[in-house]
Amino acid sequence: MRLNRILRTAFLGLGHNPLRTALTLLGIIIGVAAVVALLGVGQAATASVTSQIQGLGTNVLVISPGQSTENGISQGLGSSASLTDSDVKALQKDSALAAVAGDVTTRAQVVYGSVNYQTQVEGTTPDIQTIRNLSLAAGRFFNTVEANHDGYVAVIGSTAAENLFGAQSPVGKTIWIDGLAFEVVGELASEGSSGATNNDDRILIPLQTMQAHLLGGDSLTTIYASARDSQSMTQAQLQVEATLRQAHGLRFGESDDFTVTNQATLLSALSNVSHTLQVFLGGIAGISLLVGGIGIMNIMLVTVSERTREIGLRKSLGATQGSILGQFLTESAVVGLLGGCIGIVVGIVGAQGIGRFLQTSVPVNPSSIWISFVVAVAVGLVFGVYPALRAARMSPMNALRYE
Amino acid sequence: MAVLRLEHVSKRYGVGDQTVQAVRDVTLSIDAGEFVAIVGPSGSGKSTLMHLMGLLDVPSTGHVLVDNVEASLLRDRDLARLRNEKIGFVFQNFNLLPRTSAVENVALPLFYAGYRTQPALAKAREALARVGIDPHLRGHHHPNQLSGGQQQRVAIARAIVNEPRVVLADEPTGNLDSQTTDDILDLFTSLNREGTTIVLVTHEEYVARHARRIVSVRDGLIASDEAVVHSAGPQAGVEA
Repeated sequence: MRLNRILRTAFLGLGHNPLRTALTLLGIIIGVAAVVALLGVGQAATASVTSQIQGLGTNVLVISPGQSTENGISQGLGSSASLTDSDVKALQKDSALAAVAGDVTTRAQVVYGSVNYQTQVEGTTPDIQTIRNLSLAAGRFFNTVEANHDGYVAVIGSTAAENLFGAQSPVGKTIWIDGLAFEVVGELASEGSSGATNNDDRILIPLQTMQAHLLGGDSLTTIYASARDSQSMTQAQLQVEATLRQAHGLRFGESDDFTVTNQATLLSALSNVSHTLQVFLGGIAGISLLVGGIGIMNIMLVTVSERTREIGLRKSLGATQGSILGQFLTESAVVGLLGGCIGIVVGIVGAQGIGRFLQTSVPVNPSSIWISFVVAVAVGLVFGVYPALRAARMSPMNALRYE
Repeated sequence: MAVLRLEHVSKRYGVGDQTVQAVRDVTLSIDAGEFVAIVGPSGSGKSTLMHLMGLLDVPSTGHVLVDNVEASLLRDRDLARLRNEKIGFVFQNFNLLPRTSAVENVALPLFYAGYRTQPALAKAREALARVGIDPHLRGHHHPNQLSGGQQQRVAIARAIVNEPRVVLADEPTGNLDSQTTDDILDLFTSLNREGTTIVLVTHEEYVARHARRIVSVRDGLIASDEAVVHSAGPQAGVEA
């Protein structure tokens, strides 16, 4: 039998009971759509966290005050105020580090004209710009002179700028932070939000101004340092630990009262997590595809027994076992193929929908499309083999007499 | 020359732990151009005999020869080809594919023979015309749009479309009223006159009288095998 006849026969068979065919298709569609969408979501989650970590800058070490231990019970990261300006000064002498910047973060009330707005205010030094790779959309960053001599200047994140100034340019305007007037000298380029945190909703001011006039004290929330290059990260981390232990007067055997986080270790920890996530999501999607395949098998078995007489007739007219096998295999493969195609479309649409909901872009990987398509057709074939074999092996006489 | 030959053919079935002997050591030969009726009450083994002749079933012992080819030695593929090329089947319940046009139903054996669509459909239309169905008027009708008699004509067209050596008809008039039965039997008679070999299985004496030779079967054995004398046409000697 020629290919076009085989295909025609398959479509005729599928048209025999459209509702049943549609429901069988649905099983495959859901399976394939789940593979495409869930793998996309997994990748989006990985990409978002990766970009967040890479957004820290290059070769960055993040030093947090921490973990103070009371009676052997950890009080959690950042629970003690162990980092101060003198630590920054000590670290700046470190040869392994290219730049060091102290950072204090607080939430404060910011006023411009009639707009009153609460946001994150960060006191820091100009070095932060190179360490954390900050780029400016307009204006400039505050300079060392301003930073060291009570400069009332601010660099504003894009979300904060939009909320305070709307469409106006913020550069040159005066804003009030907790009753003090600051001149906006620059606007940061948008970094994009990642998950719940928005890196654009913040205002940077000189650290010294912040400590002297807004908060008091010399304790720091975080110290950011960058290693000279990516090879010297581990060495830089060891050196930071040694310097801080010495500066804090910790004796041998006493545990650190600070935590150094290395960007590279963060990334590798993350890639483990994201790998697990991918496998987990892929597994769920794979199971639904398997269930869809069992659906195909179930329906094909019903179809074969319903059409026993047709099989007998076809054999009496000259159909070989091979052509009966081909007829039913083609039917189930067509279900897999159609279900695969529709499922890919549904999966892409679903991925966009999830992306819109989570406000990130959910990528649809061409390889996940290919894989799920091939798997869908394979599922159709594999689960169609047993019913088709049953059809092919029927004795023509018994099949014709079947009631 | 024999187109169909059964040599010492027996067929046993296992039903539960009992065996049923449906056909016992039957030897029968059907020559080209014959119109044979196989008659017998239900359970006599006549249907089994037809299945054996049509290569739809394999004998327990003995040999079946179609066009001098010994069938018991053949594999599935060759049996299918033999059924396709040498034998045409007509069934009691027509066995047409639903939701498929008359022309496509008739063309089905040609598709299994590897024909391309257009030549197959052209040949199918010729066959429809031979059985008295206008292919342009009714060729595109689906079986459920045709009467019982028309459906059986389509089925007969399907049986002859490959110009087989023999047409096997199993109770072809069993589902038809008496008028249509006569029409279909006349069609068989005229096809036979044109040279088609026909074997007709029936339990009705009236139907069998249209053949030129009657083989009656009882308990799996051939009880009698005699020629019919058509002195006053096929309708002669009808008691009904």
